[in-house]
Amino acid sequence: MTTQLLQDKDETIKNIVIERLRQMSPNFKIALGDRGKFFKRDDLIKEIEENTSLGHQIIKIQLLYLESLKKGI
Amino acid sequence: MAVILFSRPDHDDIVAYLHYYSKQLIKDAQEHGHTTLNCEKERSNRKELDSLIHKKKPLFIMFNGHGDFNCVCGHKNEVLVETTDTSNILQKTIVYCLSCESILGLGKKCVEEGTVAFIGYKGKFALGKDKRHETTPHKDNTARLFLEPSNLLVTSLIKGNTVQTAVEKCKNKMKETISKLRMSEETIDQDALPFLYYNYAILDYYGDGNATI
Repeated sequence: MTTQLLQDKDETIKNIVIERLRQMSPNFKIALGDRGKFFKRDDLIKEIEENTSLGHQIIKIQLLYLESLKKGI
Repeated sequence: MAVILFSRPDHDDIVAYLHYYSKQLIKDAQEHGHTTLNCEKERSNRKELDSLIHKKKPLFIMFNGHGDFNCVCGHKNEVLVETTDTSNILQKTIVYCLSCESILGLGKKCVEEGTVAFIGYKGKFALGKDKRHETTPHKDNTARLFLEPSNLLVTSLIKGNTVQTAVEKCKNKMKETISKLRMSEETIDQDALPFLYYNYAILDYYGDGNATI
């Protein structure tokens, strides 16, 4: 696969995850190791859009879960 | 019966939830005849921990708190144990770290240096909550989904199950919760699912799976 295709794939995955997060309840908050802080839906989306390490972690978690739907647990 | 030490800081939103949900574990341990040492809030510090471990020699230690690859922390994120420590104060103990990543570096090193077993998470532990219950954690069914399996792990050990069985029971509880939630029509349940699955995937232990307390 060329670099451009890989970049496109990453961008597609990122957009899918962001769309999933947009469906989240505004009441749901999540902490992921970040010292003392819970994140709201919009915070998570921002982290992904800004390509932070937390954003990458959220994408990995969402993909891991989607894979589990296919494979079962 | 064993001596069990709980390290339970309470200085920020995340550890406050862990502190609240682990309160029941102290009662459970006492009801099973164990002696409990409760290093909570300000008492969750290095000096107190060292002193209690040397004097009381606990067989099981549960750490709530923040951590990373190399360490686990207590009150206000004071490092309690880290990989650069020259001696392993966790020798001859079973350890459960409800913290991020500590098993990877700290856990591995501790087991190499005499810790019986080290249970923890090979990634950043995810904790969800419902913001409508921020001041009433006992009513927060979302947080409960994340912390009940962890409590089950500890009560299994308290009841005399092996490390491996306790971890399996915890994982089975997580799987059961995930399966139930998949049928739920509540958005907040669906939101929690990927993070619950992730916790399930990263829970592990090093050391002797047949060990008991």
